[in-house]
Amino acid sequence: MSEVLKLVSVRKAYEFRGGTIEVLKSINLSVKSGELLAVMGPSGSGKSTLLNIAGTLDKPTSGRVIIGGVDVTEFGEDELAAFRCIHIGFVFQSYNLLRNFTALENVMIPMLLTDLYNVSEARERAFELLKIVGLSEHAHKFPSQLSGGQQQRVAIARALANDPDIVLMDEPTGNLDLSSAAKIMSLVKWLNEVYGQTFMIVTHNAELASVASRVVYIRDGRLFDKPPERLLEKKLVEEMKSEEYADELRRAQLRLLEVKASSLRRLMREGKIRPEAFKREIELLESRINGLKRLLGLS
Amino acid sequence: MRKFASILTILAIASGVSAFTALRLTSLGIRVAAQEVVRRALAGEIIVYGDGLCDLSELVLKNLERVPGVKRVTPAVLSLSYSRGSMVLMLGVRTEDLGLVVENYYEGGGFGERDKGVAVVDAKFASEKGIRVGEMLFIKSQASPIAYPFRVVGIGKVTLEVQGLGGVTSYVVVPLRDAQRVLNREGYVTMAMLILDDSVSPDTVEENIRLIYPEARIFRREELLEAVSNILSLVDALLLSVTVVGLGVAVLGTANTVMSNVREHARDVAILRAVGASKRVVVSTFVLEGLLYGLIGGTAGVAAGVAAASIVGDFVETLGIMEIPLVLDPVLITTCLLASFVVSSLSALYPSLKAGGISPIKVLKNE
Repeated sequence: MSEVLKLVSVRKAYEFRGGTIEVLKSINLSVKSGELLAVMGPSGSGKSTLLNIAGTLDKPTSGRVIIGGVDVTEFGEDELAAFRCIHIGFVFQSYNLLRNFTALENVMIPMLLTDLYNVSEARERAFELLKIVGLSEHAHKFPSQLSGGQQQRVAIARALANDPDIVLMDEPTGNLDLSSAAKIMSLVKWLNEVYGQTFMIVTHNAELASVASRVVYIRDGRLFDKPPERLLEKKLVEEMKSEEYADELRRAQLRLLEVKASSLRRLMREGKIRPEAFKREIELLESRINGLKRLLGLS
Repeated sequence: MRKFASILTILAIASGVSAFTALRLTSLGIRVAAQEVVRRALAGEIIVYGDGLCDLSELVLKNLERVPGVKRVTPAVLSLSYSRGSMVLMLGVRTEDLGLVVENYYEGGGFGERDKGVAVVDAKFASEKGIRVGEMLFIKSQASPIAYPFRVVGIGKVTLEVQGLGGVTSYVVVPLRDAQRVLNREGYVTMAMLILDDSVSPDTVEENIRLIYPEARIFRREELLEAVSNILSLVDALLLSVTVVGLGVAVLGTANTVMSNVREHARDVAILRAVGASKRVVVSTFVLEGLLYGLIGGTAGVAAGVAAASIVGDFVETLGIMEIPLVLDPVLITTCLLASFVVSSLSALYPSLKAGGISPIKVLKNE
């Protein structure tokens, strides 16, 4: 099977004043023709960034993106748009259909953008694609007249419009109820098996991933072939174990208690608190403050 | 809301273009009318005056006829006079020259070679004073204490409006000899209007006249037309600067509406870019929107401008100031339409470029 998508050492980092945030860390991924690949990961794991880079909507900080054997990493914006139009199909979580166009017109648009088809050819093909996704009788309806599941099926038909090398799906069932989600995934599975269409789906939904022919996992910007075990917990414990992290927490706690003690003294001066209550509270606070100071080596 | 904004934009363009069109058409009409007035005022390419009121000798006229290139010399006496309690211009011409200054007799006719003490009255003056053919009219020149009687033989339209631009527009045309008698200046005329051969240069003729009659005041019709044209151009420039404000409003309106549409459709643009639309497609879509506003607004504006120019012309004519013809100059109409297309598409350019720069990833991420 030939490779339709290959990511080589892809890294994506965002520069901020306070430093750099690395969203993707040296990702290597290969998607073969006819595969139904699911990329599973929780929110913030970098899966959408990975999809955007794979779909040429975003550029990697370093590494190469090769689609259908073509290295598109250095392509300009318009070159990418033209390439995307023919080689990649997109399905988004929120369908992203054009509101003022009918289902048929939404499917026609990518074809008309290629200049490969005239209007009547594009209309004929769009109608066939809507038939494939089971929506031929809704061809002339606007997105607002369709249910979420139907809109997503139109989006799938639009993604297939130019017979792309790969269809990229970002949480395709995220906005759908169970029954609609099941229909969409059956359709995807059917398109993959019968139509031979390659898919790459990013999701955090394990059920959705179960229909895939291969599943990879993404955590903290890294890809894994098997689900990484309790990665988040491990990281947290490691961080907590570090003495530097503990001192930072203690200093913050010390500042909080000192501010509280200062407030109590002010209330006492202003006669807004009874002396016995003040005495009890301040003794308790001072004992905690002294304990923290001892731990921090400040006394 | 969006439809309302679009309609307002179209109206802004239409009002700007209509003001521009109406002013240009009116100005063109005034130019044509003014040129016509000058042509009527100067019934020759060169007008020769003496250095006084009526002191161009008839002997000089004979010499003028002999200047090479002069085809015809028409002498005339012109004097500010009074009649029936109003100021009129008494115009004395030879019988053979009467056709040059009067056309369309509404009542009666002209005077003959042997007629004396007769007058042709301008239709407007006759109408104001209720003068009929056969009535007696007393004319007193400013230069003479005596009022002379004239019998009205015709009422017609006087085309030689020498002072037409100056305010006095009532004429009484009398035989040349009678006019000289009223002014007590037998043998002298006020001016001579020279018609030249086509082949000769007016400059050469003017030089030769100055040689034989150095004191003469010589006016060239072309110079007067040029002077009038210059004054009208100045008025044009002032009026057009006013329309620039209107066009400015149209430009800002179009830019604002297209910018609002770009903002409103940022998601659609992002989707289009994601499915493969190039920047060019996005930019041209919004420029096309601006162009559409220009097309509708410009066409409506030109139509309204033509209507407004026609109304202004009729109104000015009703006031009796002048007849302003409606000159539907195709170049001007095309220029107005093109200007509205160009202005609207250019004003849509910046928002369109902004639309082209929309990043699909940023917009779709914020959903």
